[in-house]
Amino acid sequence: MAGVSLGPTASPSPALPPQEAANAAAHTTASPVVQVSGLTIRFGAMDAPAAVDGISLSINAGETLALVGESGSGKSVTARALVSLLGGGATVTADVLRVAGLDIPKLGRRQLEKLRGATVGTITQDALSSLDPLRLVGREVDDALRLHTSLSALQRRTRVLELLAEAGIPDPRVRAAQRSGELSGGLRQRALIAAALAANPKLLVADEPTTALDAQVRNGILDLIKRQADTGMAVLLISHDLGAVARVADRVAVMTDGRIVEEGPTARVLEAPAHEYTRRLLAASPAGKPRHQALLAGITAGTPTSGTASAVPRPPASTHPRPQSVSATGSPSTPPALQARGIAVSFTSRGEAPRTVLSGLDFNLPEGTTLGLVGPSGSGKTTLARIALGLQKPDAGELLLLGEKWSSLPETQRRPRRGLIGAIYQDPMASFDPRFTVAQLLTDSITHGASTRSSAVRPRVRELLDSVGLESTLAARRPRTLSGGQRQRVAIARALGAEPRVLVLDEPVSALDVTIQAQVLDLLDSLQRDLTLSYLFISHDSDVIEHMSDTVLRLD
Amino acid sequence: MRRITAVEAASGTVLLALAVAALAPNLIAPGDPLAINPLASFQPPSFAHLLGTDESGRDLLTRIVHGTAPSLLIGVAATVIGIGLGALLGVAGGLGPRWVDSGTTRLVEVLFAFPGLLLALLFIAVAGPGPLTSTVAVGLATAPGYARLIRSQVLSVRRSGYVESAVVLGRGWWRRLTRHIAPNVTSTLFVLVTLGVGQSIVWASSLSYLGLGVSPPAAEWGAMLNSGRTYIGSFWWMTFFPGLAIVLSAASTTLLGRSIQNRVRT
Repeated sequence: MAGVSLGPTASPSPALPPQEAANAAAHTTASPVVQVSGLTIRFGAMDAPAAVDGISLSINAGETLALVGESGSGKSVTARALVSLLGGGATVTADVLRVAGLDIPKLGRRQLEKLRGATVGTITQDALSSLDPLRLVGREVDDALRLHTSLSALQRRTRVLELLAEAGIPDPRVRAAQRSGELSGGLRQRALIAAALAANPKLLVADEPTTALDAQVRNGILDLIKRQADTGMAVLLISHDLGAVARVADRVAVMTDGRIVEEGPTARVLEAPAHEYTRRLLAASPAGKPRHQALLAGITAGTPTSGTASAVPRPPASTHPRPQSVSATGSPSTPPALQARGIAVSFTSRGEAPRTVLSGLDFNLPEGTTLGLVGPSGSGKTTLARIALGLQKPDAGELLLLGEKWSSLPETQRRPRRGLIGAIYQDPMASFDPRFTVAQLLTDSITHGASTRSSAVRPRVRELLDSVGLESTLAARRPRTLSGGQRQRVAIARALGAEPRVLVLDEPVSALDVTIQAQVLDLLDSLQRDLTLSYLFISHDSDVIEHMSDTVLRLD
Repeated sequence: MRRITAVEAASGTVLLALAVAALAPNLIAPGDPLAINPLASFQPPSFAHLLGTDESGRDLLTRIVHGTAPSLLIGVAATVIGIGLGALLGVAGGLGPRWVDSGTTRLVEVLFAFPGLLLALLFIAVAGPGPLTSTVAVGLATAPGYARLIRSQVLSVRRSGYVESAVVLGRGWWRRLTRHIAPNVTSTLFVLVTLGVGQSIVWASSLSYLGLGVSPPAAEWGAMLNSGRTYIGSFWWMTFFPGLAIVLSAASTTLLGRSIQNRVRT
């Protein structure tokens, strides 16, 4: 089984690829830190499909291997198998499963506890749930030292501060005395890394360590991980973010459906992918793709292209002169879709000084273009989205919609015009009434709330589903039975049903896998051109923003 | 859809039998529940009297079957009153302005401070005993619990993403209330009702037992329990069978409510 997983295009046996062997020799280690071959993992019955199907991999000291793939491909399960954390429901079989020379399946409970933390350090995506909210950050880091080293209490105290400082946390003395809830996302992730590195492990497993972070913080964390590999640690990086992988990994293994379909040096895999799936994954990444370039052009087999029946696709050049700079399009006669004049918002909580979120913000969103909104969490992105959607009033300034008053209108006057501006959220499920089918959701939107069951609009329902690339047979289903990508398409179709001119998209693709994300981005782009929509596009992912936006507005 | 479990089948059967007994008691027990026969008093269960007879020689089976309608009616009506009142307070608190919410919440808290039965007794002391007042009393006593549950349900639906997106789509408050909030709150209310009926049956019987609800010689389970109490040492069937009827009906509505709740949730 083990050999089968490596396709003919993959590199030779991972045990001793010549180039990597040379790398390892530079660090003068005898055997790889991680040695896996023929690893198969099943959940439930023995005849259940394998979550991981006979994979082999090895990581030398000082080397970073990136495991890349979409959700459900088996990458996290593989990582958990390395520290035997899969729980009773899983059946793990392997020809070889060794970490730092230890035969994992043969270890007892005590030895496994020593393995986790002392030999293998782990960083997860969600630092907030990995750190105990009631304990001090310093205590969390101290735990690893107390359990896995023989340092005295005094030595540990200085070591904790050193570790926090090494992890790039400013004022470690202050931070060590805080709880995880008081730290920002980036600092939390750094504290988690400090705890993972405390016992000086031989292997660092980083499972999507940067997914929830914005670009700047992300790069800082990646550099920190890279430094660990430079000191001779073996690193297993699990990510779907190819940019992150290119930045830190020496080798890449691409996983799909529980198999490694391609493995090789990072540069080779990313620049000259041999396997079809790797090519698709790379194509789907928006990084460095110019505006309006379809991400999945040519590889969209099975994905209906948009603009089918509902709208006649216009050549992009006629409506869209590819604006690159801030001084975007829009002839003086047509007012901008959205125009902000000196918007200011601050929050006051009792007993504290008011916190300014937005101050004196001006921008123009010309018709038919996209304004990308980036910034760290807490920078007011979502507040601005809520103002645009008329859910919140700014403290000062005003927002104009299509040249007319919007944010300053009383609700009764705003309501008739609300159909002009629609919203797409990160989690579409929350925005669907749980009792409604897809058809009811769309009918409600098309009839502007008059009915949820009118059969007169049935052709329009089909047309909308078609325009977002969904089968019309889905109309009778409830959204909870659909996949994440399908749900987001339904959300887009519902927004379009009210015939809006502007869409506010708040992290619309953040919860989606790379290829699904690419499909949705392509769809949004072609809808924009077909229907001359204007987008206010919020994302923490700068690659997505650069790809989708004509103008980028940074908040901080 | 999951398969019907044994518990669901059993409680469904009991409820079906109770429904028949309530709607057409003569189908099961054709006799007169009030007909006395002093010669046949205190008969133990036998073929002539399946569940025995009471101190006046009345057939217990006949009395229990004919007592189903008043006993259940009080339980159901009390639940309806309780949920109706609770919904009024809960919806006002959940949807209304802040001062309405804090007002209703305070009121509910004060009512909560009294044990439910005490509240019911208080009402009966003011309004006088009788089947109608005991029904209202039980309804009043259960209302605070419903009010609290309904308020939190209304609040969570009102603040949900789908109600917000209805705002964004330009729906007025009336449409949001009728299309999204009311249906989503009532679907959980339905479960509350089935759970509440069992509780109300027990409470109504308790009041009758205390002589504050239906009074003898009318056939009602609580009242029958009360009249059998004097003889509980020698003639066990006089209290056992009416008690069994109360337990079975309360248990089966509650169990059925539970399983509906589980099914709705999954």
